[in-house]
Amino acid sequence: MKSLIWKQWRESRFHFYVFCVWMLLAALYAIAYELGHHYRAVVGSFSTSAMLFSTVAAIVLAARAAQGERTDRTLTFTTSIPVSIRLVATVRIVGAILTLAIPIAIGAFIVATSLALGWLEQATPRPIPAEYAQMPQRTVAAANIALEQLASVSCIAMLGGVELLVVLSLYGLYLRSQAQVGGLGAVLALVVLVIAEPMWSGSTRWPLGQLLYGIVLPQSLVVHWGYGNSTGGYVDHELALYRWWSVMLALPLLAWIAWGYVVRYGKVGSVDRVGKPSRVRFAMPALLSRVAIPLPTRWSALLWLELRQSLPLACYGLLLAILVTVVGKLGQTGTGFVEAVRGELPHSVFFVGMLWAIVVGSSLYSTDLGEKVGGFRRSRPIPHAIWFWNKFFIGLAAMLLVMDGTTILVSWNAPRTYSLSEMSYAYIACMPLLHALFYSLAVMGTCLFRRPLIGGVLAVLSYSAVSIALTTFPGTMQLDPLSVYNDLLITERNGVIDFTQHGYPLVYGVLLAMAAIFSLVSLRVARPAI
Amino acid sequence: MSQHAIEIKGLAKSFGQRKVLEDVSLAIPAGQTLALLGRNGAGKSTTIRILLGLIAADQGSVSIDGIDPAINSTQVLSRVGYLAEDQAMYPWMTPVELSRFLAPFYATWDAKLAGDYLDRFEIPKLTKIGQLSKGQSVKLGLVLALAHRPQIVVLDDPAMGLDPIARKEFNRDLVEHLQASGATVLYSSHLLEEVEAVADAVAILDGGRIVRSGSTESIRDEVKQILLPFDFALAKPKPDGLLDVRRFDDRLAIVVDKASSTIQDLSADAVDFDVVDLRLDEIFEAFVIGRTQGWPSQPKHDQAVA
Repeated sequence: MKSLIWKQWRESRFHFYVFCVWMLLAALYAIAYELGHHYRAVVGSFSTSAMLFSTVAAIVLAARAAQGERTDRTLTFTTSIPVSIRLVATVRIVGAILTLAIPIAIGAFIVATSLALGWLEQATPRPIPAEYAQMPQRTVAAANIALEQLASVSCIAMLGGVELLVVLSLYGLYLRSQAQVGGLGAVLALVVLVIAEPMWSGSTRWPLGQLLYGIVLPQSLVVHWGYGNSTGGYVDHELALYRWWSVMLALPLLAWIAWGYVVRYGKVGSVDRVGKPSRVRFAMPALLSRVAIPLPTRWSALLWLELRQSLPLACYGLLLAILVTVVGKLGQTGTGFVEAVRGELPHSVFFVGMLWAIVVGSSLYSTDLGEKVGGFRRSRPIPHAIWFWNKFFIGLAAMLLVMDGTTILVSWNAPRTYSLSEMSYAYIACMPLLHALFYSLAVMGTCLFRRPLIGGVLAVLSYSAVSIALTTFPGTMQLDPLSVYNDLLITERNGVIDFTQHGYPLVYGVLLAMAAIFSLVSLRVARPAI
Repeated sequence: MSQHAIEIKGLAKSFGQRKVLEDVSLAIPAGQTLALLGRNGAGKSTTIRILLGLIAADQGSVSIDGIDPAINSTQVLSRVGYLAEDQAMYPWMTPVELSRFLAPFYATWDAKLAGDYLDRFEIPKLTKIGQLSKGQSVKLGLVLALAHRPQIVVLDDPAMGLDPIARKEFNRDLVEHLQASGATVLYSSHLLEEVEAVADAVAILDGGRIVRSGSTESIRDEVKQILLPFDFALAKPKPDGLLDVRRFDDRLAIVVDKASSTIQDLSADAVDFDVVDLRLDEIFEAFVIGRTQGWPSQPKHDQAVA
């Protein structure tokens, strides 16, 4: 047992250190921001950071827990050791849970110390919406209330992350690679983001419903509301009334799912079949093989290859965005449903597109850079630069045309209610560029580390870090790409369409230049090491 | 202009502090099948990867069909048929699709020939590559390596991972093709019984150096096992070209390279000895793990007294 714990520690200590640094920085940022702006919103600020952390950490750790030993090809060896495979699995999953939870606890402890020592103030909990007051205008909460709020959001972030971790680890056992687990994790995280909200819509709350829903979906126990003005922004939060009951009742459920992982670990599929095709219950007929598509030149061959890979991926992203929109509009009745979905689609594609640009960028390059298929590709007479640029531009074009292009086409003539979610010139001017940036970031991360999951996480983190840095200071917060987009959109809704305003040429020009630089760096680092 | 299809001169390569190749030189005339033999980690794959321009050498020069792969690897790859060990292809494609995809990259690609090979090797054309068996996958790799009718074929341990029957079947198919085409073939393997049937020449790579090369027949002729009396050896110095020594009671079994001079010496001494022909795997074994420390030496005077 001691040896297993030691092995697990050696395997996961790098993640643990990185995650600790992440949450330490998140806590220090929340404290510093609060000290600078005095919004009395440190709990909400910490909560959003912890939520983002727990989601990313859960995906990374689940990929290792489910597929780590298969990727490293150590599973056969592990099963040959005279120790129960269930014990091995228990140590793996508990190790992953601790690697996720301890950094959040460390961050929470630092914020709690600041609150307890009186360095920071937290506003009283958010009142019901009808009597809502801005946080700086609210009274200061007593220390015990502030600490309880902090403990609540920390526990919810931990439980939400652990739930995603154990569910992904369990289902990840049925997949074939860490990249697939990462892709499934991204989809699940998005779905959770959407389905966690219904309990908070409207001005009335249903505490019992929140309690029950919170058992299954801990993330739904808290909701965040963002506010901003010319000097900065803050995050207010609202917590479910019976949140601690939900937390306690969620624990057995999580333990049960984790047990499912333990009993299946090393047994799903056969160890001997690692790396071999899984039993296929249903396979799409190879229709394209029956059609002799002419590929007269190497460019046409590469175009065909990349389209075969990128188009289905991009279509899945669009389907996901449509699904998210439909779920969000389920309450809408009558003949206006389709129009409502068309109207809301740009908003969904706006954030699903960011995520999906990462999925497409990292997926397209990961296989071709690997040892096996990558080795085959490199041994064919395909010049490196032609391969790279073809893949880059076809993948990007497929992503932008399918997701943004279709959305523009579908939503352009949707009935207008002049909500900020609807299609606009600002969307056309900003979103494709923003999605292209995420795509190129993911490509660079994947080419650099040869791992799609790391590439994806790097893209999310680097963009988040730049965005946080920009929005921290009043002088730069208007340069945040999303702020520019919002400003352009509001101006457009007021009847003025002018893309020389709000720093658009500068910010999106820099963004375009960054995407170009990232692609050039990717071209260089994707070269095989000689 | 070189008359050799493949020529390697003074090749050296290190990965960090580890020297993988040292002063490797090799020349393969057109039409010859050369087996590059070596244990795992001997440097076979590194040599081949340099030959194809997939990695750069630290020192030395390489020419393949008159082209320097370090300068134009794409041109080399378009002329060479290459099958790597444990090679994976796009698992979501079918063999037919992959064949169609690769055709534009090779000026001499013969789609009909590719189709014929797929039929002859009984590879399901419309099954996704990810669902093919290991043997089918290796054979598909061979089809793709040969469908552009290359004059030079490089096979890097292609049958590794196959079961013995599949290996024999694979080699049978390979031999059929090689005999028909007259291509120059560099065949790397550490499974000697596989290459013995197909190789015209052999080069043994050990510890990053070529320790022996020559035609298969000449090596078989020159490397022999000689059984001689132990007492006779006591009085004699180690013969030149000694590769391995083993003692069996009062007899000594030695393996000697360039054995003819040793045999002449033994005949001149009128000693009773036997000469045994060796298989290629036994010759290889003598070169890479042979030990000459077992050659008997006269005890020194003080040791004899003691």
